[in-house]
Amino acid sequence: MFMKGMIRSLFIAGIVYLLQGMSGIANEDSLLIILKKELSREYQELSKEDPPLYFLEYRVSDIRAYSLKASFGSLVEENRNNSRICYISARVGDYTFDNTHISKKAPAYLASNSSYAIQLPVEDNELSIRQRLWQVTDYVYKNAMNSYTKLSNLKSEEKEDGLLDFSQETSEKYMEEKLSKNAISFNKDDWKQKLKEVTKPFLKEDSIFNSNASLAFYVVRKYYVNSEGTELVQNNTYAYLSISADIKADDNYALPYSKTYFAYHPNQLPGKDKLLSDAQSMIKTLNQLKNAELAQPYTGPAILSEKAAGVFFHEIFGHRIEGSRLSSAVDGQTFKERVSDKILPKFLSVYSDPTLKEYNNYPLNGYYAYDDEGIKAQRVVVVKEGILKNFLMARKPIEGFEHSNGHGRAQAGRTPVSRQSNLIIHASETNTEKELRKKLIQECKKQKLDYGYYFKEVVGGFTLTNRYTPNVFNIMPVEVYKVYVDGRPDKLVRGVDLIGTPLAIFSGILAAGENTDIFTGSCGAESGYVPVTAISPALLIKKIETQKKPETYIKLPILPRPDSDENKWLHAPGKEEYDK
Amino acid sequence: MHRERRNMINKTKYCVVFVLLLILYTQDGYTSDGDSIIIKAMQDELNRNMQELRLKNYADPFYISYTLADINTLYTSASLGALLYADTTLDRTWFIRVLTGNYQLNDENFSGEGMRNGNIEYLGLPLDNDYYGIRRSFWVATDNVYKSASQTYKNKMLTLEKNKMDADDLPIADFSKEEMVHIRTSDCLLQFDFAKYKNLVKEVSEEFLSYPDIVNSSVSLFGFSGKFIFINSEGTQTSIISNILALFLQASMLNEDGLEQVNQLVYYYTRPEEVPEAVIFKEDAKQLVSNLKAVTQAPRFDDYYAGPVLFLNQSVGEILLKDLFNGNNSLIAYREPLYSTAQMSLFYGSNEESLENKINRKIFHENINITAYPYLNEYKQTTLIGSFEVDAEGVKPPDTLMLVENGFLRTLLNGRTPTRYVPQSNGHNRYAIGYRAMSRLVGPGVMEINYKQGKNIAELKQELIAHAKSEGLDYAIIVKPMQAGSTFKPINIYKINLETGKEKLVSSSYFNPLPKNFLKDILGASENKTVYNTFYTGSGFGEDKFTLNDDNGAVPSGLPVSLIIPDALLLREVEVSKSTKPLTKNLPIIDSPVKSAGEKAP
Repeated sequence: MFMKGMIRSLFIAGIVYLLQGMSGIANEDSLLIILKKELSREYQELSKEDPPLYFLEYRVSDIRAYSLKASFGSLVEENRNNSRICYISARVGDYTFDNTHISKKAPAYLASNSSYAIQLPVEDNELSIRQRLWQVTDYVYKNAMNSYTKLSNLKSEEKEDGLLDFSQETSEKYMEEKLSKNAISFNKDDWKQKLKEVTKPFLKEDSIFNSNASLAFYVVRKYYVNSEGTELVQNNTYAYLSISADIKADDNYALPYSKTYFAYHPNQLPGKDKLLSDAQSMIKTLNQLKNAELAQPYTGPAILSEKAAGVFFHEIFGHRIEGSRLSSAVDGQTFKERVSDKILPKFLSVYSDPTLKEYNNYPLNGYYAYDDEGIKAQRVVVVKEGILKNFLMARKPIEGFEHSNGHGRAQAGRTPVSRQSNLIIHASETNTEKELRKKLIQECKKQKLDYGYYFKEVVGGFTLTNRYTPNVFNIMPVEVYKVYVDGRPDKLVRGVDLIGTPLAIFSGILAAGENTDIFTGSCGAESGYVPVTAISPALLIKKIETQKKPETYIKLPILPRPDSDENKWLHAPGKEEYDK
Repeated sequence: MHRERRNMINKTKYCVVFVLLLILYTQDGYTSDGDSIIIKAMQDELNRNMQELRLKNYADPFYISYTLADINTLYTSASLGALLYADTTLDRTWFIRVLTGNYQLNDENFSGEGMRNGNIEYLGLPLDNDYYGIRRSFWVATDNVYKSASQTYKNKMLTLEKNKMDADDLPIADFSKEEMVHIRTSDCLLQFDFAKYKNLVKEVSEEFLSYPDIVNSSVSLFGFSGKFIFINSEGTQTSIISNILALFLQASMLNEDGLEQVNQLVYYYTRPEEVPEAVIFKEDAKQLVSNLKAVTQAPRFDDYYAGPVLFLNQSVGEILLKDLFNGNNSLIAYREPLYSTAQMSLFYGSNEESLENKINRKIFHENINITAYPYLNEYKQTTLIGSFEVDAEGVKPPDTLMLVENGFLRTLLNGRTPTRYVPQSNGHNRYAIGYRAMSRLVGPGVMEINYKQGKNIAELKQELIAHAKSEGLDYAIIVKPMQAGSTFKPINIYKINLETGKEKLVSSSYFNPLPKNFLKDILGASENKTVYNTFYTGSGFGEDKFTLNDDNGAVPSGLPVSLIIPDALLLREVEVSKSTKPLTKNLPIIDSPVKSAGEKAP
């Protein structure tokens, strides 16, 4: 399956390269000139004020979005939108102590009220844009000034930690050309038809009560300027396609299942035949799930598929190496004091690499050239052969990590903090699928268990990292198999979530598979939603724990579907149930 | 020669084709009608559900109605000549009502749990006229609504049983029986000329570039064209169109304290051809700026005033709308639901007595008549946006409906939910509009508020001065909107010198709530009438203070309403207080770029 993906991706890669444009060769963009002009005027004047402004930044996300949604063969939504969201942030004081200083004696809002987001005109009209920038700059400067004054009064009572409030970085200049109309256009009518056709087969199954296919295409042109001289313009395009359906089991459980696809352009997404074939395979899996037994809570060994392991690492590990969170007194700070310690098995290394556009010729959602604080994206070796080396850093320093490594990220209009990008889990010792299964069975026998688990497909997960709640994670699988030690065929089960606490799990990673796969997702945290991927081999874990999923109880409508053959619906489950 | 001619003919033909296409695609136009498939799909599904939708041990549905609304929305906004936003959307949405029980006693007018778990998600309506797609959507929605309604009905019956009540103890029916209506509009959904309106807002917004003291400005245009198709199980079938175009012109300046003073002009139209050229709006924009300058430079109202106040034009409309149609004791019928428990009754019950208890009693000054004219679509050459043909329950309103006669209350506006003294619908449960949305609301359409033996404004002003003097006041107050061609204008407050009659603009004040019976005790009103077009949201009016000229936002929402009102209203006692002055000034540290650019220009 993964090989097929690779062949298609080779074709994708060529086009993607053209789409992304070339750096440093284009004429200056008119919006960039406007932003620079107002930033320079504001900085010149406000840096003479008392207390002085020492840093000002404007970040504009010009977003063109188009989306379609079809349901059971009908087009039900079509939306398009063009907006420009501008994030403005001001700093008063200096790099060592400014208005964002975290003080235990001051309310938290003081450190975070010096930024604001507004909507800018979607046309490059100088006065109209500058008027809006001027108004908000005045507002954020005054807020920053007030916070700084209050924080300064508390400074003498604070214990010095020797850390800067804002790291000093070198300025950057980078510009990509505007994407041409041709580069971002695609046949919308063709996609409308395709989505309708892909959702039609789900009508054949009476128990499938929900089925959608949606396409969303975003063309984002990001501008960034700051008073240190950084000037950046970069393009990102994202085409997301998803097919989802829900089936009702006989015990009235609602069972969801979905497939998602990512490319840089809708033309690079799978064609109709592939989507139809995926829809058919989804229907097959849904029917199997409908008849699958409800799993009971379990503790024991399990194999996480490549995608499941990707989500697993993103949640239990990725969120704990995000540096910004480690400066917070409320965070659990799992790894803060563990640098140079062995935290994973020796055969595992972990990288975060936003500079990667493709992995094995497959497009990566977490790619960017510069982060949302204007810092060049960098590959970060987080764990080398099991040893913790580094954290993902934005411009808020932590002890021992005084500079950003290009991971300050945010949703449009939000304040950046350090976030994941493309998280890559690399195994130096690998096992074939067969070997991994063999090791699972051995481990089950060792633990005197009749079966282990294989988590094949997951839809996402979440984790808690603060110290006021248990530091747990929850991964939400949709396709889970029991793997029997006595050689019986694997058995599909349903109704379980994978749960646990991170430190206990890290020590239990026993082996990795030889193939890798990519989980493409959107990660939500303090700075909003950012696109990410997690790339991992399959992993064998010594002991996982499952708990029952929350019940989603469903009843089909009383009457049969209006477009069904009446005879076929005489014994419709919904009607029977209500008659009882 | 021959060949040349043929070429010429061809050229002409292409030109004609081109022009035709241009007309079709660039002007406001109307889409072709595909209603028959939609109506058939709705009717077939409604019939099937009426005949077959049953739940053992639960009551059957006795009434089902479906509304399908196609909503074409345009929204575009610009500032200083640049587009801020531009979007057109076509949405299709529905509204479903399923009643279980019977007309006398059903699941409505009851406050108790009725939700059932396990309903499946609603299926979106197809954007194209897909017969089965439409039926599937109504199929799922009807099922969900029926399950909830039948459960609610069961709970209601249990409540009655628990309280040892039966249907006879509930003398008011839950749902009124009304005549079957067939109305099918020949109009189609309006297609907005997107490019034209984008250019219009850009061009008008450019006007503010000439005024560097304006700190914030925008011009927005909102277009709503909704086609509402309604059918019910009683055989009623209606399809109507509702169109609104609203242009908002907004600007703000800072006063000496650095507080932003906002002025807004709003224009409402029902047909694209009514929207004037940019130059007309630009002229009003100039006046708006001079009004803003006057307001920001006006002295603060630094006093407390309690005495007669003369309200003019739009300010009369705002006061009357707030007083006549808000709250449970207004000119809109209110039915207190049956509560499942005493606690719920205590918590949710209305503290206000419905006005219907005063039917045939005197509630206002004897000179006041209030009449609904739902079909009237123009008054003194002004379009009445509140005009409508049939309501959202498929009921045709009467041609005229007298609510207040010589100060005596005669009836209240109502839909199909009977109240003790208003047992039938008078067709005022209407479609409310919003940004990409619709809902229903009982409320006014076109209402005339008439004051017999009225006087002219000059005479009322003299009366105002005389009353103020008799009460020993130093000055009197007059409230009037700025002069402009818009429907909605900034309202200013003036102090009047009791000796000279001179008016002096003041700023920073607000009104305290008006006395409950102020319309019973008014000092006078004008004989001349004017139109006040606005939107009614049905929200309560419980503020502890209020200002007139409420900010309309940039998108109207609610019921389009037209009040035909006296252009002056003299109230006996209104309290006016000063607004709090900020402790520190908040003026910008550096000049705006528009100001700087103006200074640098030769």
